[in-house]
Amino acid sequence: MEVSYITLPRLDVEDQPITACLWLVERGDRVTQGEGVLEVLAGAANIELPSPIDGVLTKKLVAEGETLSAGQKLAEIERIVGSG
Amino acid sequence: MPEVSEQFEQASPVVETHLLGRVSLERCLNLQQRLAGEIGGRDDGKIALLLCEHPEIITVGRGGSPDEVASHSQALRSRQIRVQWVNRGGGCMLHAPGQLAIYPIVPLRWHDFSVGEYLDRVQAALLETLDELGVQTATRPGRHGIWGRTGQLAAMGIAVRNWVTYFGAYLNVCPALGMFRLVETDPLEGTRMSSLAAERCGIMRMTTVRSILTGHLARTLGCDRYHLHTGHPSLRHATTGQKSEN
Repeated sequence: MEVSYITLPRLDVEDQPITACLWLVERGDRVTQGEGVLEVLAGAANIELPSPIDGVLTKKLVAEGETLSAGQKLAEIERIVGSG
Repeated sequence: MPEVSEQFEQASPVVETHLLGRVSLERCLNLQQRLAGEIGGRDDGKIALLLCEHPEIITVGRGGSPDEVASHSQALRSRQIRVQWVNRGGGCMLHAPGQLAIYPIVPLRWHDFSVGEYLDRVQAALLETLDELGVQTATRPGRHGIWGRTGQLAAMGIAVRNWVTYFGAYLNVCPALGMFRLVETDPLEGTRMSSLAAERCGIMRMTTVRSILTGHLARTLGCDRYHLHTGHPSLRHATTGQKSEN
């Protein structure tokens, strides 16, 4: 079973705290590539982090309100057999 | 020489600027999200820029709290000003006629902008615009926004979906400032919102500000050219006869 992760990219807003703001899908939900999975708040920016693949959200690796850092794994997506 | 023309097009994306006049937040947000979806599916780096004013409404961004709105005030109730949660960054903001809403729809990945770099570029365009208008400005370390002698002049709050931006910045050109006391835009700073008209102690025309800003914004986003459109086809009914010329 192929697994992909959503990781926090470098946002270049290091002088402001970055927090996990809102999960847009629940564990076990199917997601499509490019679909927003988690909103991340960084000062004046709210960023929907998209799923890298078609699959199922199998693990939420951070909680809403948690402070994040670049490169951190945030969610695990398992590819649906037969997709992509 | 179609090949040369094509190369130029590829090297220099166009900023398609739509002057929407006064339009409700809901209709404008729908348009932004539709444009963001369309632009995200293109491979030419096209940028759309929506410039408009909103009827009075308070929005609460993801960094805001309803506590920052004086929701029990008689003024809010009597004027029936709605409070709406939105998925942009930043906190609470009051929008009103005389405030220029600036919504660039930018594909970040195509332009190789990080989120922070994009915010810095939009802020730079605002600073250059105010400098050209002769308004003295200041910024605050670690925050996006612009302050003048009399208070905060511009606030920023963006959303990013599939690495395309929407929402943007708000520049107080000449709004009535009384209602802004009802919203704590920046609780950390504790400063009041002000306007360019207050800074200049005189008339500040929305059309002048809009015109200057469009050029600076195109340049800071790395585009040589922009096109101006009055309205947008999907908002034609909403904008007819509602252009603000203040």
